[in-house]
Amino acid sequence: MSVSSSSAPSEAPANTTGVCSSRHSCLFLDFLMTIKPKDRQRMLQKPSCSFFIYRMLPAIAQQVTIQLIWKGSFPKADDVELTKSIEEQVELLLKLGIAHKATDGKLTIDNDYKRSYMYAAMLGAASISSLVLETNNEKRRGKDVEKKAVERWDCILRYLALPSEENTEAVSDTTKDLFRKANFTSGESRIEITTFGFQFLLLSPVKQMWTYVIEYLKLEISKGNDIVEVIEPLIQIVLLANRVKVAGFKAEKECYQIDEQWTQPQHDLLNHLRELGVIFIRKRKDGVFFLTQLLTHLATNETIDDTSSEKASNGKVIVETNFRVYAYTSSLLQLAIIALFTEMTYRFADMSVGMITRESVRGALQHGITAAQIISFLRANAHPQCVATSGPVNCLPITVADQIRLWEDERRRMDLKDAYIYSHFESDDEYHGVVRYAQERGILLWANPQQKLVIVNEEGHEAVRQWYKRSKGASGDSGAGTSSA
Amino acid sequence: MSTLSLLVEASSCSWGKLACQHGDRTIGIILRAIVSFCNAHLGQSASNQLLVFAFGRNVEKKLIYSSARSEDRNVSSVVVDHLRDLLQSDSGNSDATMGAPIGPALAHAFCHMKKDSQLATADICDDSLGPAASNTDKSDSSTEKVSTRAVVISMTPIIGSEHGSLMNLFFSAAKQSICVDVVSMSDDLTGGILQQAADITGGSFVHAEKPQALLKILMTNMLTDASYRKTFSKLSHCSVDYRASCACHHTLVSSGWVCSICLSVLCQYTPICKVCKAAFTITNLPKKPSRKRTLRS
Repeated sequence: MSVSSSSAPSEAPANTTGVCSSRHSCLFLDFLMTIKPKDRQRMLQKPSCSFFIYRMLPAIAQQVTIQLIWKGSFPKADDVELTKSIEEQVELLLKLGIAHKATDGKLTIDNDYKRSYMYAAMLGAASISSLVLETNNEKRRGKDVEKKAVERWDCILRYLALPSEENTEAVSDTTKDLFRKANFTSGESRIEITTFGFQFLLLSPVKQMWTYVIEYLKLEISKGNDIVEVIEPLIQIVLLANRVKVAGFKAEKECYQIDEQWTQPQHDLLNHLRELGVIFIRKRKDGVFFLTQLLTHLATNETIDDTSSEKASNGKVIVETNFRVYAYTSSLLQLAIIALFTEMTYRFADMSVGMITRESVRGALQHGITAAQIISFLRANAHPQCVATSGPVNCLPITVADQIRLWEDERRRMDLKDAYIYSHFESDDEYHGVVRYAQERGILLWANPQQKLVIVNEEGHEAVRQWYKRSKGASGDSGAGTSSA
Repeated sequence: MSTLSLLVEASSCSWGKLACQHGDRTIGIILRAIVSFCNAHLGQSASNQLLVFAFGRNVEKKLIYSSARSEDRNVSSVVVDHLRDLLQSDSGNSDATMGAPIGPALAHAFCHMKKDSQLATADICDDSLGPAASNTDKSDSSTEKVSTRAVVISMTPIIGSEHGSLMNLFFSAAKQSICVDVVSMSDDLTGGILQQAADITGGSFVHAEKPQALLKILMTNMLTDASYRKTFSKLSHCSVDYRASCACHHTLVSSGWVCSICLSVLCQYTPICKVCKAAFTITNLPKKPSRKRTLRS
């Protein structure tokens, strides 16, 4: 019997960074789990932070928290499935340090968290922040705050999507640095966008903003700065977002003082938020900043997609069942993103036509973009007319969505595994013995009685070898069998 | 996103009675509970909306706080200031009747919430990155619904004259899927008609024995949407008093007379209906009580 080993690198899934978060995880909470327990505990002590963490929790976890705070326990659910989902959420709370499990299995709420949450609830989001509201006078009124905010954000996306000289200059060095550290771009002088960068472009605005902020916070940690010091003002600003949604809200009218006492990292944070467009600073010497509509992106729990209103107005893409794509936009950024997975055929002043083809989609897939991302992008950017006639899901024809998924599956047709093949058995008994043993252990991948071939997986090889040696020793003779790896 | 209307009784007599029963700090405790609850609701999500109404005999401006109004920026101070003003002005007048009409405020609240839920767009894209393996996830796209709820904090049992209009309100609330939760702080365990409100609309009715318990009740029972409440086993509902009140004396009756024209309930026989003035031409009055039409089903 001889053994041959075949090995080939299996196709590794590219989901390794924070860009691809699963459906139920929240970037902010995931990040919170990674920071040092000491820092996390300090965050839980801050009323604003505890209030914000509560907001980002999933609904059931919120309820468990509330029950723990007020009753010290929570009633058991009747349903098995519900019990399971509650347990998952409890697990999350334990990881976040909001709840603790005593040795007897009893859950208790973290005392610091309880105290700061109750304090925050008592005072309200507006009062717990240390930001000082200033009634705006005519002189330093911000003009076109909303428009400028959106421009800022577009600049960043354009830098990623269309790396040209002009776009590069519009973005600050810190952002460039951030994208490089986050592995979104590569190359020093001439930047090149990476797989993760592409994936970032296809995310919804809420996810994009959070990804950016989280990457920024990671960068701060790696610099050795105090993370709590940076997170607290960030959260305080985000908590003000309730105001931005109010109907009669005028960004120009309300501004907040920039405290001179703030440390350098905190000023850096403001600069970053300014760059993101979530706050607006007219001039540094004004010492005030304005809130913009984009702040709502950061205030939403990104697992709940309720940015529908803005999507409905922004969508410009029509996809037909014959895989033609019509994009009613002149924005280079939008077109560049669409061109990632379509073959553009015509380009007019305000409209472009392309085809979704197997090659174009495969090209995108090879870049590490997933089918789900393409589909969600097309749905999110569907033309309002499409959404009106066929609903938010079917605005992208099902045939097209399925085909894109099939094209993705096509690439996974082969599942490569390291394995060992055994051949040249001396007798049927020997062959059957190996097969039976491998079957019992669950390591058998394939066997053929005619050719007397057995394939076992990589982990099983050692076991088979041991077994073979043992059985050979027991039977005494028939020592002609060889085993080599 | 969810819209919550909080209705608070602003009758100085009722507040005063509670303060007499439970000590001087009562009013502060109740105010603090209300404010904390408001903040907790707004804190749950950035898209949550809050409306606070006060109902009382002399309250002219019922809507005391709305998160959609740009001038109301700090919930805590706005709600406390308004409630204090209302109570102070109410204590100044000579009207010493307990209780307050809740109907108008409740109607106001329902209208506001109906308007808000219509404004919010119905189409919500399912943008979450669905699992690539399953193509069947399209049907159950998690379209988030705007949930509308009302929480009533009542201090006196509401019975009598408002019965008819309130029942209409409750049924329309149930139709609009507005969930009404009630905390009763009065001595009466049943809370009058409001218990029916909770039962009809699928909310919960809780009786707070002490003012200190108010915040705990609000937080644990009424902070989350009704859809999530069923995750945890429900509160045991005691039997709900579904008796109607009669049109003549506003007392609860378990069996009475019903006018064949306007269907109003009368506790004793009258030849002319008190409500619609219809004359009953009954030649011989029934003697046996078995001929009475019972109301309890």
